Order: sequence, then C-alpha cells, then structure tokens
Amino acid sequence: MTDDTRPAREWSRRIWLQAMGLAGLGAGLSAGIAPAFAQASEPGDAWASAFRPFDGPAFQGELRTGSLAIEGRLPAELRGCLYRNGPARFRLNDSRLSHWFDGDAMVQAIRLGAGQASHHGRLLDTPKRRQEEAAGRFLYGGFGSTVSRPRGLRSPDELNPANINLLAMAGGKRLYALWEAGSALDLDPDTLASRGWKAWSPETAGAPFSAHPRVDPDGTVWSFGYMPGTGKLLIYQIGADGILKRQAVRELPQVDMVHDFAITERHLVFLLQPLVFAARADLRNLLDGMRWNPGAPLLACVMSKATLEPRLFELPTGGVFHLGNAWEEGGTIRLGYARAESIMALMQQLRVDTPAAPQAPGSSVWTEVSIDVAGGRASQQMTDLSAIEFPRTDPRRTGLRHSLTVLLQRGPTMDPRVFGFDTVIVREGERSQRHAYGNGWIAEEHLYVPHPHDTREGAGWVLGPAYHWPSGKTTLSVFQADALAQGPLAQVRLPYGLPPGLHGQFVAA
Amino acid sequence: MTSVLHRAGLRRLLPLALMLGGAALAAHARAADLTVRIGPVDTDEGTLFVAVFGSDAGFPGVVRHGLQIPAALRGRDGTLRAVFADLPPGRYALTVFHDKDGNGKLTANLMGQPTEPYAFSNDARGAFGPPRFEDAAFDLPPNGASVVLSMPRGNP
Repeated sequence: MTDDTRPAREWSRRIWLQAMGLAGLGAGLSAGIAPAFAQASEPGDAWASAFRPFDGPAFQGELRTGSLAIEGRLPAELRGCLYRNGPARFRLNDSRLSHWFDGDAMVQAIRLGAGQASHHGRLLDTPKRRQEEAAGRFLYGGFGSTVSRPRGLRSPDELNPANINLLAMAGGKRLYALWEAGSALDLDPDTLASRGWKAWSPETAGAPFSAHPRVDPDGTVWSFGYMPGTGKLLIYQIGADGILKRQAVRELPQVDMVHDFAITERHLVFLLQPLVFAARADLRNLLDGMRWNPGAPLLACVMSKATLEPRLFELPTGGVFHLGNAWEEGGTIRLGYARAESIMALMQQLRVDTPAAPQAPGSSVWTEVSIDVAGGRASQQMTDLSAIEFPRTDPRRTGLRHSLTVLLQRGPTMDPRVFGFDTVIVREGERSQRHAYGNGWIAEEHLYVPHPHDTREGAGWVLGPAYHWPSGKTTLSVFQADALAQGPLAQVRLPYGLPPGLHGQFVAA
Repeated sequence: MTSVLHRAGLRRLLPLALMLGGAALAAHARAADLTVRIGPVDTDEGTLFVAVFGSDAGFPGVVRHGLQIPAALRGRDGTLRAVFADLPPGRYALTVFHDKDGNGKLTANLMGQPTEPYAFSNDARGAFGPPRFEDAAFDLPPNGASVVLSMPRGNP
C-alpha cells in the first residue's frame, strides 16, 4: 500500500499551505484553514461537533501546523511525539457510520521539543478506505454500525480501519496502527503514510492482533488476538528486535471479546468477560451478535510466560475494556481494571450520530484484583473511584510494581447532555489528585510520560488533549505527574478541533 | 469478525486437492460447456484449484468435481481459462483458490483464516458465515456459459 490516493489534491494543498505560511500566519499554517473547521455548538451537540469537520469536503485527509501557541512553559526534557489514534470519519457521500468504533482512523502526531510544539494529523490509508471511496459509500457495518447493502468479506483486514491504538517499537523507528480483529498496519512514523499490513510470521498473517499489546521493560512485546465465536486466543511474543519469538493458540472460554490484558514479570493476565458471540447470516455488525450471559463470572486467566498454559480464576460477574498495570508480590498478582457493570449498554451508547448525547459512561468503577496463583483464588475490591476509564501507567514499570495510575473521570458536574469525560486523575495508593477541565471540555485519554533522567514516577508528566466544544478547538495539556492538582505546566493550543480519539503512545526523542 | 466464514467453510475446500482432471464429469445427452476465466493471478508459482458444484450439497467444502491448473499457464493478463465440458444444463456454483505454497490445500493462519487468494462465482462473499450456494449460483443453459472467478491480488 502506498500513499497515493489523491496525490494531485494533496500536492496542491501543500503548495497552498506553504503560501499561507509565507503570508506570515505565524501561529501555525493551519490558521489559514481554521475557519472551515471551527465549530461552535450547543451542549447536546458537543460530542458530535468534534467529528463533523472530518466528514465534510473541507477535510482532505491531512492537517498540519507550524509552531503552535503555548501557554506556560513546556518542560525542556519533554521531547518526542505524542501519537494518538481514533476513528475520525463517519460519512462518505450519503452513507454514514453510527458507532464510534467504526470510523476511518486518523492518527495525530503532536511533536514536542525545545519548548515548541506542532501538530500533524492524517487519515490513514487502508484497503477499506480505498474500496469504500471507490464505491462512493461505506461497505461494512464493522463493530456496531449498520450499512445498507453491506459487502461480504474475504478476510477481516478488508474492513480493518486500524483505528484504536498504536504500537511503537525500535525507539519509535517502527510505528503500527492497531485494530483488534485484524493485522497491525505498518506506518511511516514521520509521514504517517501506510506501508501495509504487518505479518509477524506466515502463520499469523492476517490474524487478529490486539489493540493493547504490552511491552516488557526489556522491549519484548506481548500481544494476543481473538476471533469471536472461535473459542481461541492467539498469543504473540515479539522480541525488541521486531522478530516474532513465539506464537501459540489456546482454547479458552469467554474469549468472544477480549480488548485488553496485562503482564507481570512472569505472567500474562486476561480478564475474560461473559460476552457471547453467536454468528448469524443476517447480523448487521459484530455487536448485533453479542449477548451478555447474566450471572456468569468474570474469569481471570493467568498464563505463565514460560509455558503459556492458562489457569482460570473466578471473579464476580462484570464487564471490562481496560486493565491497568499488573505486578506480582510473593505469589500474588495485583492489578486494577475499569469494571463496567453493564458493558452491553455501554457499547450500544458509544455512537457519534445522535444529536443529543447518549447517557454518560458513568458506571465504570476502578476495581483492584488480587490473584493468589498458588492458592487458586482470586478476589476483587471495588474502589470509591467511579465513572472512570482509560488507565495508564509508567511504561518503564509495565509488569512491575508501580505507584501512579492516570485515569479519566466523568466529574459529577459535567453537563449531562455532553458525552465523555472532563477530569484527569492521578491515583497513588488510596489518594487521588484531580484536574477538572470544567465546562465546555471533553478530555481524551491522558498518558504518563517518564522523565528521561529521573526514575521517580512523580518526576514524569501526564499529558493529553481535550476538546473545547464552544470554540471547536483542541488543547494539549502537560502536567507534572505528582502535582496534577496544581494545573497544567503548559497548554498547547491547536487552531482547530480534533476528533476525540481512543488511545495514544508517547515516543521520546 | 467475519472469520467464521473462513474457519467453518473454506477449509473444507481441502478435499479439492484430491480431484484431478477436467473430463471427470459424466457426459449427458444434453451437455453444456462451462468456460471459466480465473484471475488475475500474480505469480507463476503454485496451482489453481477450481471446483464446480451442481447443488448446495457439500457446498463449499466437499468437492466432487474439480480441476487443478498450474498458475504458470496464466496468460499475459494474468488470467487462466478452464472448461468444464459436457455438464448437464442447470444451476451451478464455482470456487477457486490459489495454492501458492504447493501444499495441496488452502493454507490458513493459526486462527483458520485463509492466507492464499480464493474466490466464489458471482464474487460471492461471506459475512458472518460462508456464502451460500445460492449466493454463488448461476444458470448454465444448454448452449453453455462463460463465468469469471475474480481473484484478489496478492493475499486475501
């Protein structure tokens, strides 16, 4: 796959942007196109408004700025690129996708260094997008949308939007855009151009690769894949050199939707929820075939990294998207997760097409799990942190004991008509620091970035974007990790809004 | 998502490997020729396995009538031509896969998804299951018919 879908248009646009730059629009070349993107909106339209500019003809697949306006001071040691991925485009001529998880991917690259910041965003080039643009309409319902006259498939990668997360390897020289029901998409880290599907081995070509790989401190990447209805989990172990070291299939119960997992020094840990997929010829999308099996336990599945032999432990019933970091002390594995009481309802609410915001994702509770591996017992404790999601921790401590967990929360005063989260939390032990963005803001996942020369977790930073819907613009905020409540050290103002994305990774320069 | 198709259906194409020859079908009083254009294929390596079904019995996995064609016979445009001669007129469906690695079967990844190109007549595709016979079926009149089996470039 090369990036030549619309070379003439992109070329002419680049020339135009250069001309705008020469005209002296100092705060970013894109200031010239900002008016086409600016969106003021009512609270009930806040969420949808963030996506609308990317559905219109003014958006030609790429956004780029020069040096951006910054309030405060970016830490000198904070150098690198925040890559974020998420569904961005939901309309093609007269056809629309309704579910948040189904839009065409846009990767955002916010580059930070020498006290400066710039943005580059690009709609990813995928076979799906090419087929659909050629057809002039969306062809696949995907996870939760419904299209008329859907096209059948020869392989899952035909509808792979690569729109959930990113994996950086080799110090950022390799970058992959991730879905979870198909292959990883190899990207050029500088241009964000697509290089094609990544086959880690002939035996895993075209196979599902998770959107949440976990990386050991030595650079070893662990990942997995699931295919609804098969009862199989595919495990990948990839060396820091990018070479697949191990691939294995394990037959397991409750593996019809496995979004995330965690690793410790010696184990992989999955939380397998009682979601059941039943295939039918008339299914409109994947979600249409999912059913909750009420009362069935959440299964903690622990695999030794050495043997990949699974052991199952029962926890009280519940749903889950995201796990935090896991570690072990003695023979006990500890981890946190965002427990969703009713994940079916949550998944059905995650839409972009409803003019009024759906009900808030308010039911997820930060829950701490202990698994006594030798004793064969698991238990969990729900914390007092509710309406949370998107846990992130220090990547240097993946699989090891950590102290800080970054989360998003929907604050109690957030306008009920506005979907999403408005508060960032740094949790340490039982204490939490908060930063509430306040009225008008929808916060995206915030992640933890370590200080390059200081191993203390508190010395690092927490950073993430937030969309300000009354102005239709996005701001990136940077906080000192141990002083979140004091507010941002720096805020980078983008001249346009970005569609609220899913997950990101920071690659240090 | 759609993988059920690959898992359940296409791997049962494998018995196709056992079928040889194009003239295996019994001659009928009123017999028609079915001409099949296959491709384009992107390499001379390997073999095309083509199967014809006269009903939904065994479709698409249990092959009774099939052909093997070396990919090296492809024309300049990358396509190959095959003829199923002297078939009784009626309703038929075709399947094909390109056995690139020469293992005599439709190679799949560890999750059972094909990693070699394949196609059905009518360009029929599965969604949450394999395509049905009726999705791939076409009429073969007494004076014969020509059908295209359009192959994806590269791997599926």
